[in-house]
Amino acid sequence: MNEDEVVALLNGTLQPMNLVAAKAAAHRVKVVGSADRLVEAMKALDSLGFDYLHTITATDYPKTGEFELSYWIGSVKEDLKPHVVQYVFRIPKASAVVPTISDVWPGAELREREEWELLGVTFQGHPNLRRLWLPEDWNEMPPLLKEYKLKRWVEEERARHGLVVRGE
Amino acid sequence: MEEQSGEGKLTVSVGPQHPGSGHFRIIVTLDGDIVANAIPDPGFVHRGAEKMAEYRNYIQNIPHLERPVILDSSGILFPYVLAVEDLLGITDKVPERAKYLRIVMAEFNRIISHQYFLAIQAIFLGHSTQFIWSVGDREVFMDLAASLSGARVTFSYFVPGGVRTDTPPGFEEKTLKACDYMERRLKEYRAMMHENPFMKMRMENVGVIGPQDVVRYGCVGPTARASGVITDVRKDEPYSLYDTIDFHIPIYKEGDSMARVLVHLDEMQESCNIIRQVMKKLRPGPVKYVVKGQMRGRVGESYARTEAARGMMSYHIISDGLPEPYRVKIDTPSNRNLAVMPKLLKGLHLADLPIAFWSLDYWPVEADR
Repeated sequence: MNEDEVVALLNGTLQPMNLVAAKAAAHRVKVVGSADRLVEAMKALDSLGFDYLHTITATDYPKTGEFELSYWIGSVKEDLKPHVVQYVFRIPKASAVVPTISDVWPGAELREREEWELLGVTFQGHPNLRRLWLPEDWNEMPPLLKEYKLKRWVEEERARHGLVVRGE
Repeated sequence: MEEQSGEGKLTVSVGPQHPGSGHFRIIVTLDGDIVANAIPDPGFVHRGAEKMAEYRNYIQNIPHLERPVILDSSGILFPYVLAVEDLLGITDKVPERAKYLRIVMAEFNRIISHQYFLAIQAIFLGHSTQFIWSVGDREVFMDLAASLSGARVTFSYFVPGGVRTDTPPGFEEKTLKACDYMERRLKEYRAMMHENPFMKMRMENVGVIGPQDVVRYGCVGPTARASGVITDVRKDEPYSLYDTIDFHIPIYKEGDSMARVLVHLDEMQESCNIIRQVMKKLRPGPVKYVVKGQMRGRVGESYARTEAARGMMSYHIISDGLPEPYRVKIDTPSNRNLAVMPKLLKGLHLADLPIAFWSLDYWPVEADR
């Protein structure tokens, strides 16, 4: 199956939900969606053969005050194996609540715990939202937020070598 | 951590000292000597590699990002360079020789990592001969990798555009000799360790995972293939000329600790087979496309995946056009396999816990990043 056939397969089920799949790159299909339709979209992808959740990436965009969440879903079915589907949407940081998909894939539980801890996205209905990687006494902001700066000396060091300092 | 002691139950903290692989703890609730509940408690070696990567440019990230998995240092770099090449738009400029040398290095690293796996598996079973054999034979490939890259452990061999150095004189003969040696040794391993009835008794039917659970929990690599799930990125989405090489992926149906160990053994054999074929295909030529000036990715994102020693390793890199990546997400195989651990360990005898745990080839530093 090539990307166009995968897109056609996905659109057959996703279009009634007002979601559109499109080819993003070789072997990559992108579905731009929203947080409300996340669970039904994941169930639909699961039933179409994209049943193998790879990872979830949350990214902080302080300029627009949004989080972008990308769900990467692969497959173990012979003809879908080369392809990975990205389900992507943005949510405002002020109300960063997303439904959990850990009842679709139990493997998502750890992925969601990680994004909750490192970025502060809350996953509603998650059975076990507690610290995973950070120390138990961590009381600063989630470290992957752009506001959280690494130590001052890193930037001084970078300025000394003439490297661009990311301005925000 | 919830205490579940009392009424004949006892909660024990296994770890977080180094149980052969890195600092990691399992909170085990015992009922007699049966594991009633096992909660993995990772995070002792979390260093924020993803955050630090946002502060380094694409070249500085190469030695930085291989730190979480020094045992499989080219495994964690392979998808990184593929993603960066995509962002720089130089994917089709990588020379053929570089692509083949990448395969050689990746397979060397697979053998090095699998040998370490076999060594510690043997130690957990109290079999010190296999430990010494594996650690010793691992040196053969570490020396070869060192002759190629200049470093013994952290090779930093892959760069966006190709590989860092070409082969030294006499590399091909030495490599072919090493493959012959390894294949002979693998037969001896099997005769001494893996066909040994006592070792079989310790590993067969211990820690069984079914194919359904593999998919639902998202297990990867040898763990998935030992349960009959046919998944290997080298075949699924061939990268870097893996499609020009004839090899097969070992699959077992049993899903127990023994099957996972046997997958590792068979994969080492296949790696030797791959390296031999690559040696025949290597043609003289450049090994690197040199990117002029500061590397700046296009504004956009890239997702690349490869088959590292422990399974599928993937990178999601978002770039905003600056020399540093905007966001780097590393999805490591150990992190993926961690999800199934509570289910896998439940119901085992405490004495079987180390073997079942290690058969996942779980590397805490890789999972924590």
